[in-house]
Amino acid sequence: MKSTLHVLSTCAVLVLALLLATPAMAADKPFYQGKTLRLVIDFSAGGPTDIECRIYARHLKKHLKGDPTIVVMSKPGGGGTLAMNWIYERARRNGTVMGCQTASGRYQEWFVGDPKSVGLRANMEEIIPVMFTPVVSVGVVSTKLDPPYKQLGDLKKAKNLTVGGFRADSSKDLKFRALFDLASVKYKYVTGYQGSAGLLSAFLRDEINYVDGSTPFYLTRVKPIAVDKGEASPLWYGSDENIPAIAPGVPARDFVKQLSGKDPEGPLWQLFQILSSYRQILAPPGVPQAAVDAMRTAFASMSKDPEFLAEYKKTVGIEPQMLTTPKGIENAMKPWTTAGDEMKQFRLKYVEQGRKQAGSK
Amino acid sequence: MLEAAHQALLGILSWPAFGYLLLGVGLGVFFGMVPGLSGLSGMAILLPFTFDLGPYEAMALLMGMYAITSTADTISSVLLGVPGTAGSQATIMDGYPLAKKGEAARAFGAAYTVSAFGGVVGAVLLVLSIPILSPLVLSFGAPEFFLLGVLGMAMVGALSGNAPAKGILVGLFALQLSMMGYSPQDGIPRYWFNTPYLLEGLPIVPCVLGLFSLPEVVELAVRRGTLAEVPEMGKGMWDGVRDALRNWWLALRCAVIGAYVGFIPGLGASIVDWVAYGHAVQSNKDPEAEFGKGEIRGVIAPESANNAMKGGSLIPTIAFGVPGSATMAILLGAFLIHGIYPGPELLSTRLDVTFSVIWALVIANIITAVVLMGCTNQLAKVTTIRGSLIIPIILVLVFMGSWMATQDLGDWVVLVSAGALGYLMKRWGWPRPPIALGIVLGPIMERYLDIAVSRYGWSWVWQRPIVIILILVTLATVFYATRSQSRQQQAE
Amino acid sequence: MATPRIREHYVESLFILLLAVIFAAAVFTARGWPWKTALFPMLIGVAGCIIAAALALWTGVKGGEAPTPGDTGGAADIFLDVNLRSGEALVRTAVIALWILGIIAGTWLLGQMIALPLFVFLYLKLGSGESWPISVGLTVCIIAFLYGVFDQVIHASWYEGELWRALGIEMF
Repeated sequence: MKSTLHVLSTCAVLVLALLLATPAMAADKPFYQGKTLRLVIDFSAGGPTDIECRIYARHLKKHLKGDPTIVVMSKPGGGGTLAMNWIYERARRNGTVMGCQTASGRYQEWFVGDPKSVGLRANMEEIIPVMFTPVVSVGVVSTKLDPPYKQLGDLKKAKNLTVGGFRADSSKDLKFRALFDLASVKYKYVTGYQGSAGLLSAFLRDEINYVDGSTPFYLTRVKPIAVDKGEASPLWYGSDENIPAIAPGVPARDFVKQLSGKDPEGPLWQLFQILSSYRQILAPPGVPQAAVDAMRTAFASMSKDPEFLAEYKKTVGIEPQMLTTPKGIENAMKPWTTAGDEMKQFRLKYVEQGRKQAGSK
Repeated sequence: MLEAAHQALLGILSWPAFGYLLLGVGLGVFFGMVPGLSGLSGMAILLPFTFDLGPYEAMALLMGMYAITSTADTISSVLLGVPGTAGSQATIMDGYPLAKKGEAARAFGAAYTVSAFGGVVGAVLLVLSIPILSPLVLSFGAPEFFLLGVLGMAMVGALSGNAPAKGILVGLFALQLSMMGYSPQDGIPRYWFNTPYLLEGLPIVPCVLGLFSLPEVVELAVRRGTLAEVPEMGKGMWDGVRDALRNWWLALRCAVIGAYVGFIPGLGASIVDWVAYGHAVQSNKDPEAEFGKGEIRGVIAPESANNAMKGGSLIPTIAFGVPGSATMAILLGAFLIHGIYPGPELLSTRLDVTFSVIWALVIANIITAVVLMGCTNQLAKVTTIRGSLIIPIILVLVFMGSWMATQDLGDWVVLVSAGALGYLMKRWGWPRPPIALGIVLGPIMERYLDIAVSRYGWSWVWQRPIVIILILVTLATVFYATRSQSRQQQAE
Repeated sequence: MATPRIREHYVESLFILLLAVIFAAAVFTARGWPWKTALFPMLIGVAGCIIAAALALWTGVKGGEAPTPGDTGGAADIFLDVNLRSGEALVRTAVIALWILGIIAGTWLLGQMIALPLFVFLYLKLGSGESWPISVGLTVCIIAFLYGVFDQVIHASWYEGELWRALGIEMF
C-alpha cells in the first residue's frame, strides 16, 4: 500500500508539472496563431526529402505569422503513395496538416500514368499545390568499369555498366533509362533497391556501378566517399545551367549531345522533361485559402532569409528556386497537365519495357 | 589519433556538453522504458533541438539518449513482460519469469551490469574495427544479406523452442504474413483481402506487443494476485551483479556478436537480441539451466548484445554514409546538418567527432547502469503491486505503443489478432519468437533475393564463397537443433 | 498443474493443417503474378506447405508431440501456468478479453483520449472494486501521460471518434 501511495504521489507531481508546462492557447488574428502545423513527409527519416523538409520546418517558424508549433511527421511507404493517400483521405482539411513531399512522381502517375496500378487514390487535380522547389538530380558512374572510365566517351565502350534503380515504374528509374537510351548507352538494369542508402551501399560494393540521386545525396555522401577518392565520377545533372560543384558532370542535354552527337528530341526527351522532380508543400482539398496564402507568404519571405539560404546551400548544394505563386506552380505543372494521352501510352509502354529489361517479365 | 581521442574526451566532459549528455541519458531512460517508444522516436524528437548546438553538445545529447535505451528497456521487459524496445524482445523470455519468481532485482542487477559492459565493448570494437571492417562489409552483397536472413530465421526457429519443426514452420508462416501489401518489385498488391490498411504490410510493433504482452495480461487477469507469484522477494540486485561477473565470458561473446551483427545494415538491430539468446541456449553446457523459466543467462546474453549493437550499428553510418536503420538515418541527418560528412572525413580530419560519439557511448552506458542500479529495489517493488492496478496501465501502454505504428485503428486490430494468436501459441507451447522475427525479416529477405537473382542470375548460389559458408552454417544449425531434440526425447 | 490436454491436442493438429492450407492458398494466389513478384511467395509457400503437411502427418502417426504438463513448450517461451479447465478461469479470460475489445470499441466511438481513461477508471472501480482515491488518481495519471507525452511531446494524431464525427463536433 505504501508503494502504491508513493507511485500515486509521484504521478500527481508529474501531472502538475505537465499542466504548468503547457503553453496557454489563445485564438487571434493570424491564421496559424496558437495552432499546430503538421508537415507530413512522404519518405523515411534521414533521406533527402526528410532533410530538406526539416530545414523548411525549422526556418518556417520565423516566417509564418502567429508563431505556430510546427511538427514534422514521417509517413513513408509505397514510394510516397501512402502519404499522398493519407493527406487526401485522412488529413484534417483545416490548414493544420500539409504535406512536405517529393510528390512529383504522384503527379506524373496521375496525369501520365496508371494511378490505380500503384494504389494512388488521391485525386491529384484536387490537391492544392502550395509551394514547389525544383530538385536537381546527379548521375554518377564508378571509374572501375571495364575498360576503366576516364571520360564521358568511355561510357559507350563499357562492357559491364550495371545500373541500379528502385522499380521500373518509378520516375527516378525512367529518367536515367530515358537518358541512357537517348545517348545509346548499353547497360544492365537491376531493380529492387530501397532508398538512396540501399543504392549507395550496392554502389560501394560494386554490385552496381551507376547511381543517381539529388544534389544533397551527391554532395554530402557520394562525393566525399567515392568521387573525391577518384573511385567515381559525376556524369550528368538535371539542370540547364552549369553547376560548377558537380563538374566534370554536364547538364543532361549536353550529356546526350556529347554521346550521341545530336541534340536530344522526340518522345523520349519529352518524357525526360516530364520526369522533373520537386520538393513540394501540398494541402488537402478544401483547405482555407487563408492557410494557403499564409504558407506562400512565409515561404516567399523565407527564400530571402540569408540564414535559411546559407543552411540550404550547405546541405542541398544549390540555391533554392522556390515557386510560391500560382502562376509559377502552374508553369511547373504544365509538362504533366498538357502531356496528353499519347505520352501516357508511350510512358506505360516504356515502363513495361523496363520491367522486361530488369527480368521481371 | 590519441590526440583526437583526448580532445574529444575533454569536449564531452566540458560543461554544456556533459549536461546535454546527462539530459540525453534521462530521456533515453524514458524512451527505452515506455513500450512503443524507442531510440527512433527519441532521435526524431531530439533532432530539431540539436540544430543550434555545437557538434560535441549535439552528439552528447543524441548519443546519450541512443546509447542507453537498450539498458532502460529492460525495466518493462522484466517487470511487465512487455518489450520496452525491439532490442529487448529476447529479454522477456527469462527476465519476466525471474520477476514472477520474485527475483526482478536480480535480473536488473545482471542486466545493467552486462549492458554497461556490452556498451563499452561495442564502443571499443567500433574503434578497433573501422579499418578492418570496411572490406568485410563491402564483401557482403545482396546474396549474402539474403542468406544472413535465412540463417537468422533458422537460428531462431530451430533454437528458440524444443520443437525445431514447429519453430521453422511458424517462421515460414510469419514470412508469408510479411508479404501482405505491395510487392517491392512490381508494386502489385498481394494478400490484402481488399483491406487498404494491409497494403502497407503488417506493422511490426503491434504484432510483437500482441504476441508477447497481451497473453501475459490475460494470464495476470486470470490468476489475479501480483506479478510476482511468490510472497517474498528472492535473490536481490547484488546476486544479479555476481551472476553477471560469473558469466563474463558469455557476456563478452554476446557483446562481440552484438557489435558485429549490429553493423549489418537493415538486419542488425532487429535480430541481435535473438541471435545472442540463441547462442546462449546453444552453447549452454549446464544441465540444470532451464531457459524460459527464469535462467539468468537468458537475460545476460541479449542485454549484453543489444548495448554492444549500438556501437556496431554506427560503423556503416560513419564509414560509408549508409545508415543501417531509420535511427541511424536520423543521426546521419544530424551529421549533415552540422556540416559533417560521413566517410573519410570522419575518419581523418574530423576524427574528433567520431571519438566524441564513442566517448558519449561509453560514458552514457556507465552512468545509466549506476543510476538505474540505485533505483532497482524501488522498481522491483512494482512486482508486488496487485495485478488489478497494473493491468490497466500495461494495457494503456501496449495500446498506445501499437498506435504509434501507423496511427490507425487497424494497428489495434492487428494487436488484438496477434494477441489471440500469441495466446494460443503460448498454450500449445509453440515458439513465438520466429513470428516476430519473420515479420521483420520478410521484406528485407525478399528484397535481397530479388536483387541477387536479377543481378547474378542463380549462379550466386554456388559461386560465392561466403554464400556457401552461410548455407552450411544454416544447415548445421538446423541439424544440431533436430539432433539435440531427438536426444532429449530419447532421454525421457 | 497436472492438466491433461487431450482434446486440445486435436485442435492443435487442426491448427497445423490450417497452416498447410494457408500456405497452399498463398501459392495458389501467387500463380498469376509476374515471376519476380511471385518468387518469394512461391518459395516460402511451397516450403511451408511441405513442412506443415509432414508435421501434421507426424503428429497423427505419433499421437502428437503435444507438450506434457509442465513443459515450457520451448526453452524460449514462457510457461503458461493457468489451469483453464476450471470454469472460473474461462470466465475470467472472457472478461479480460471483453475489456480489451471494449477499448477498441470505445475508441472507435469516442476517440482514445476519452476511451482510454474511461477504460482505466471503469476497470479499477467496477472491474476490480478499487477505492475512489486510487481509481480517480490513476485515471488522472493516465490522462496526464496521454496528454503530456503523446499529445504535447510526440504529437500523435488521435482517432477522432465516430460519435463526434457524426455530431460534427471537433474534439481533438
